[in-house]
Amino acid sequence: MSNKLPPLEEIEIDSAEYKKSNRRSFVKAGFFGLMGVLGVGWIFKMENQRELPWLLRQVNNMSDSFWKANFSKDARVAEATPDGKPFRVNGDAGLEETVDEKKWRLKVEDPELPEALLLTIEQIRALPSTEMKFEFKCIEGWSQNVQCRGVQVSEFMKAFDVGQRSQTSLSGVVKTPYEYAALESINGGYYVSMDAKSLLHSQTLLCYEINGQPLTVENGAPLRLMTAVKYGVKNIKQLAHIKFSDSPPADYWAERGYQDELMF
Amino acid sequence: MQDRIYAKLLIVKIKNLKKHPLPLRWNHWINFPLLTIMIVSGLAIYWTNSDYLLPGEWLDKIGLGGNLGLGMGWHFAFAILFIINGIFYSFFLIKTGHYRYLIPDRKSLREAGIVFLHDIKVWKKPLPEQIKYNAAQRITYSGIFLMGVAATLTGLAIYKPAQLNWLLAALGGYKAARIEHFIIMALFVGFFFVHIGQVIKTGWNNFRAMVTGLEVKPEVKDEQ
Repeated sequence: MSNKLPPLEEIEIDSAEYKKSNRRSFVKAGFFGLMGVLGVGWIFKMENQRELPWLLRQVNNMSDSFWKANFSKDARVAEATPDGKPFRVNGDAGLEETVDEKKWRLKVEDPELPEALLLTIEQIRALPSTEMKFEFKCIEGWSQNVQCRGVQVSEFMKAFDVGQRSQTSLSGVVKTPYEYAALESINGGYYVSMDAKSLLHSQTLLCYEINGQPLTVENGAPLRLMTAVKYGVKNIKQLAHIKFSDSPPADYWAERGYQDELMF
Repeated sequence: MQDRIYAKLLIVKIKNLKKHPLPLRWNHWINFPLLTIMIVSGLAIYWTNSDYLLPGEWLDKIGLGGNLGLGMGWHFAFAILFIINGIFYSFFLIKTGHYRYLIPDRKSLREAGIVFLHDIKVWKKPLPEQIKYNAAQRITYSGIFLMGVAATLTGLAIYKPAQLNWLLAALGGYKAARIEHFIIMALFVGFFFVHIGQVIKTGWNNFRAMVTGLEVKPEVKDEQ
């Protein structure tokens, strides 16, 4: 077969011209190589936007928006069978060592509500629950199959009529979700930002039970977020405060150089 | 007058092969720093949880420890350029027709064996004829191309496991995809060293062609 291939084109060049064109090629190569090195250096020295060079943050945010806008419809994370091992405890940022469930309240703020809702854990447990089995993925790379139970955030929002802004149109009142929710732990030391699509995803729960057992304090009792569509860092433990808004809220790890969206 | 005539006589014509078309040279040289950035930033991500395959402590020594955010920031941004460069490379391989010199044919496997035996100085007879690449190069460079595709697919599946759940399932799941992605990286690093070694061994004329596009045609000696 190789015999049938056409030979490479030949060209005859005067030696002087040949030297000149070679020199030109190498000067060009050196120039573009230098530009490349300077370009990388430029990104490194660029002003940081929350601990990430500005350009990298912009590109990553654009990329995540692109994926969410075009490929998130009906996208679900595969079901996974739990491995039966205890659920790994990884982080303790913003966690209390002891929590009094009786005193605990979930504070829900919505721009349309005159005052915040304060919900007890019983009120949340009373809502129709969902069981979810998935591979919990830590941003650091480890993953663990886990089974959890709780109420879908979308169900929770419907049940208490929060997180959606009302707009009156000719056909009646239309409800559209706020762009973001800010989620905070009991002492406020840990906080995450969740975008509407991830928050309303059917695999995003307000969770009170993992692997058939009530949450332990270090795993986020009495209530935590469990979402299959985000890395573990967004699965905030000891959740006590949800605030809906249209502007991107602060995020503990995004302030420390991680991207804003992460995964979904 | 006399001088000018002599000068004219002294001009030597040099026969060159047009070996590497300009766009493919661009693809090649753009790919080198891109792949370097992908590997370094990828290792910075790997470092934070390296309890599979190779332990990652050595990454601390080369300054990649504790840079997960920065590693991800570089990795996911430059992956876009890596993919674009790969798409352009495919396009220009077809457009210039040079894919024909690259893709192995039926004889390539046997001939690659001969090339290998020649390189380790076992085979003493002349090598099979080649136009642009020998059989070993064809297999290796085609393999490298496929590794680029595989690195992209495994990477994308890890990056967007919900949106690309079908791809992740096809690759054997999240953990498997991460290991596959890592192995591809290791193969790239291995290729890099072999490639550099071969380029040095083959010499300046061959290397220069990757910059200028032209390779001086070897004088054909009449043997017997």
